[in-house]
Amino acid sequence: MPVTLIKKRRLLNLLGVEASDQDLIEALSRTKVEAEVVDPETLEVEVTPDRLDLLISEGLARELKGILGLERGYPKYNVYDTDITLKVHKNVKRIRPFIAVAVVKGYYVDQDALEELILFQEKLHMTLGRDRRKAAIGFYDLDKLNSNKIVYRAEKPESIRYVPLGETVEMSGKEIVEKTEKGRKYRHIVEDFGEYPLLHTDKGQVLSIPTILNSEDTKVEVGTKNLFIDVTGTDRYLVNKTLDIIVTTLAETASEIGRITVEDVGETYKTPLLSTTELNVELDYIRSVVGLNISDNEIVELLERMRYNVENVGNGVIKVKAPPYRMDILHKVDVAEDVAIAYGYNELNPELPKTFTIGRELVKTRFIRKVREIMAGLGFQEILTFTLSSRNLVAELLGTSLDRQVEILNPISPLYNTIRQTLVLNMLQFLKQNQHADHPIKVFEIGDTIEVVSGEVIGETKIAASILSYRVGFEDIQAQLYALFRTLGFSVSLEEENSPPKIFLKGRVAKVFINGKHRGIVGELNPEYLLEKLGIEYPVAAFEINITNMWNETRKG
Amino acid sequence: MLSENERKILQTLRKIGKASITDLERETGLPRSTIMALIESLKQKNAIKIYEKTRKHLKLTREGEIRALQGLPEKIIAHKTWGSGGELEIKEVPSVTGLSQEEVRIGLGWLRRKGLGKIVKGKVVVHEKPPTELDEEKLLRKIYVAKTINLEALKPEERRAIKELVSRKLVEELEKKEYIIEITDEGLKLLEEEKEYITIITHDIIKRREWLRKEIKPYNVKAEPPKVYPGRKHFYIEFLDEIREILVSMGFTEAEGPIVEVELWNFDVLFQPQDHPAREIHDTFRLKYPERKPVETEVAEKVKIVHETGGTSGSRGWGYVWDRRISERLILRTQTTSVSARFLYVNREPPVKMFTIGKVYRPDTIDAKHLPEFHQLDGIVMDRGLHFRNLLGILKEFFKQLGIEAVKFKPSYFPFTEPSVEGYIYHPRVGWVECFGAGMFRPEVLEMLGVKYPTAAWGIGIDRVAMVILGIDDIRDLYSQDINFLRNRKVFMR
Repeated sequence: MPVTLIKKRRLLNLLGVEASDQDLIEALSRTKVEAEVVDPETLEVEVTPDRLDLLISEGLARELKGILGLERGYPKYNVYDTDITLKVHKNVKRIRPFIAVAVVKGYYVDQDALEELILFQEKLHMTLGRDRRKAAIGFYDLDKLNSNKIVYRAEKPESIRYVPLGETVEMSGKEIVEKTEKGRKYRHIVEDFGEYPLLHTDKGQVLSIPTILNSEDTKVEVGTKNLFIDVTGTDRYLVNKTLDIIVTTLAETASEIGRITVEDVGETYKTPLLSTTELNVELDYIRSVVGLNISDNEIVELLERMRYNVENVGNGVIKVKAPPYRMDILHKVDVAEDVAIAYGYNELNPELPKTFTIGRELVKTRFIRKVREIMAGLGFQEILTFTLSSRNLVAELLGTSLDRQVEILNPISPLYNTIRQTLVLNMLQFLKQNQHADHPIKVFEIGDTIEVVSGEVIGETKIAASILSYRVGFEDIQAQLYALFRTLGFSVSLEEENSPPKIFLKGRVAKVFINGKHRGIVGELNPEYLLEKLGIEYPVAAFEINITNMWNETRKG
Repeated sequence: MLSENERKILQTLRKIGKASITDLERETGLPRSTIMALIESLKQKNAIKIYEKTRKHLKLTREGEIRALQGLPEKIIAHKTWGSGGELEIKEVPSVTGLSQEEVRIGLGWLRRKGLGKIVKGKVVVHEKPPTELDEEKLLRKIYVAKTINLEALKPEERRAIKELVSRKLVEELEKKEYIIEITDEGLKLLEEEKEYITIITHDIIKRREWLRKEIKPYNVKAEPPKVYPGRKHFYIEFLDEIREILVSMGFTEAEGPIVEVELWNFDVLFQPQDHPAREIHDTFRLKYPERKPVETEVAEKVKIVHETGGTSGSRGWGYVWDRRISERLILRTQTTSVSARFLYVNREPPVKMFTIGKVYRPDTIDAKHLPEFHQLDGIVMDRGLHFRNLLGILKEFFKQLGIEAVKFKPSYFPFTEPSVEGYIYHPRVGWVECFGAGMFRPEVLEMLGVKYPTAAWGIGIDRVAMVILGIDDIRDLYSQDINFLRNRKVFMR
């Protein structure tokens, strides 16, 4: 989930109340924010991905005002039509087709605001923008623009020339993607098209190559009062929604939102759209989802605290309008959640459901528990090892062909590039680490394994057990194997294994048949492998048995 | 008085006379460390005498090891010559035998001295078939197998051979100091006296009523006994069994599902849009082999409609074009909610109360808080009239059964639940710990699963809960690979 840093003093100023750190964090925990004090000036806040408007003090203050009952209802926005126009050229449509622009007036940028604004932009890029691929945002100082006619079009990299943000010399588009850090990082988004998207005034002042880098000339800095904002992207809804979130959130301190006329290919419209979500919701529906028996008026009040506009349309139905910064209202259940949040999750009285039911464990669970009890009775310590394993190690030591093991595309290490197909390998690693502990070392493990059989992934359950001591032989482990399965009510028989896996010792290894079915292997381990490959200096005898579905057989018998 | 093992040592010494520690090891079967301790205590009782003795040992040199494996050059030359019809040009000897010039020179010298053959006009001549193995070679092999050999242990016929091998620098003599232990008169007397005591009561002693004739030796009851360890279930598995017991007592039925899962059940059915970052490779292990598995058409069709337009769920959906191929990708499940979804899909009649405990996987690097694989506990309740407060009630009761009195709830977000909640539990040792996410399944999810009634769902990071309750601060200790840690853990009672 996205995390950002908030200036505490800025948030409290916007909120208009004094609060201790603890009160502030407590209040925030009633919203979809998890906050932590980093230092006396800074809060670290983690925001859920459905409420990205909370990634800046303005958004947090707006939410808290509602939760704390300081403000209610649909936020008021002063919206006016600017005389700015944006002309979209046809040639940019194939590169980055959608753009939305807006003006935010009376947004006074000081050092704290600047830092938060930059983080807000960055976090929105990472989340909504999918690292600028789906949407990219640009902030500019409106008062630095030399014209009110803006152009959005495509241009050849070598024909683009401006001083990029943070630089002192003019560069070509080509130089920008090669020499600047942002250029190198984001060039992949536009590179394949041969041309870059370009935002500039009709008087040739470059604002930015959207997705890559703004110009130094139009940059926002301490002292900036009015913002020009653009969002470009590949998804029209997302581009407009991103701009809505930004402008309505900054409007918490700014005086006005300015709309801009966009002359797009074949249509003219104004942005920001400031689109809202309107829904009819039955009051009883809200009561039934949350499980709250509260009055109509209380529900309306709670929704107003969550900044909805609520209108009673009769017959127990209300019409709610969610503000433009809310893109998470897909269904009336989302409105119901806001009622619960405004009421306070910890004020809701938890209540057990009344329906009577009888619980039951899986037969497999109960069977495995019996197996564990017998193994413990035989003096074995149960161990728990990782299920992630190494394909090559399994192939080398157990002779399992690679196509019988799944392969992970993105393993964290080559040692963990498959899910184990056998338990015995991890058990040997365990024995290696513990060979000098008090003898005898008798261990077992029961666990799920995965095998690929003709392209199909099969899940199985296996048990492995081993004994390590100064002196251990075939008979020692064989006796335990027989004791286990006979106690479970199965017949056990062995047959010679003439081509055993390399880690077993030829002549002292056998195939295990349980109730006549070939289910595993028992034997002494090959001292050469123990010592050379695994570094185990003591003899080891082990068995591994596939116990999948045996639980059904015991019940029959 | 003598202990059982002291007695064993003295009896051995009485039987074989003087003995080295190695001799005692062999005769008594006791480990060397135990013998050393016994010798110390027997010395204090004046039961034994110890003195140092220097013994000569023989060991192969590096060259000797090679010769032990390949044979001596004189024999090799004799054999090759015999094999070439009894005559061989000297200048051809190196290429025929594979020996170096120097080895050939030495070999020819010994060949003549041992009468294996002659040198005539630049030729090696061998008249009789040479023996397959020379005495010197036999001895080399003997030392090779034993690694070192005691000079005194050589048979008279081997003495001559050893002289030659030493002079040829194939064998070297080493002096080794050794302790020699001998029983004293005092020791013999102790053994005699001890006869009157019974140290271990055996079947024979009981049958023959020996306790009537002999005294039973009293036991030093204050001494530490030898360490033994019971066979045990793994402490974490036992904890998980306690969890099962609680949930069964609350009326929940256990279920399970596949670890290798298609994205359909892990993500799509849970209303995660297909470009959701959680599906990307830094958050989900994807399979390279096999890569995909076909999904059920009936589910896939529903999923497509709901993702794109919301279907008849009353939702507006995500508004993108859903791709069946993505839903068929195989992954290691990132949550056991996939099991809950599969269960609901086939159990649509209320009431349903299900839980599952299983491994889930995330590509995290290993540290005190993260592992790439860990356990999750998922549960669902589906019933007529079920509401969000019921969900909170179940969670609170579950933790109460585990001995956790304080649970804190907080608004959260999951694509598949609404209202959504995350929760913290309080433990005096560690304070508040975040450990679960929950919510009511979204109408979109219920529509895809064909469920008509409200459903509460939760997922608990049960490893974290176990750590809080069992007093473990490093998650790696839950999967400890140290047998002493496992053997010495106290039992857990809730």
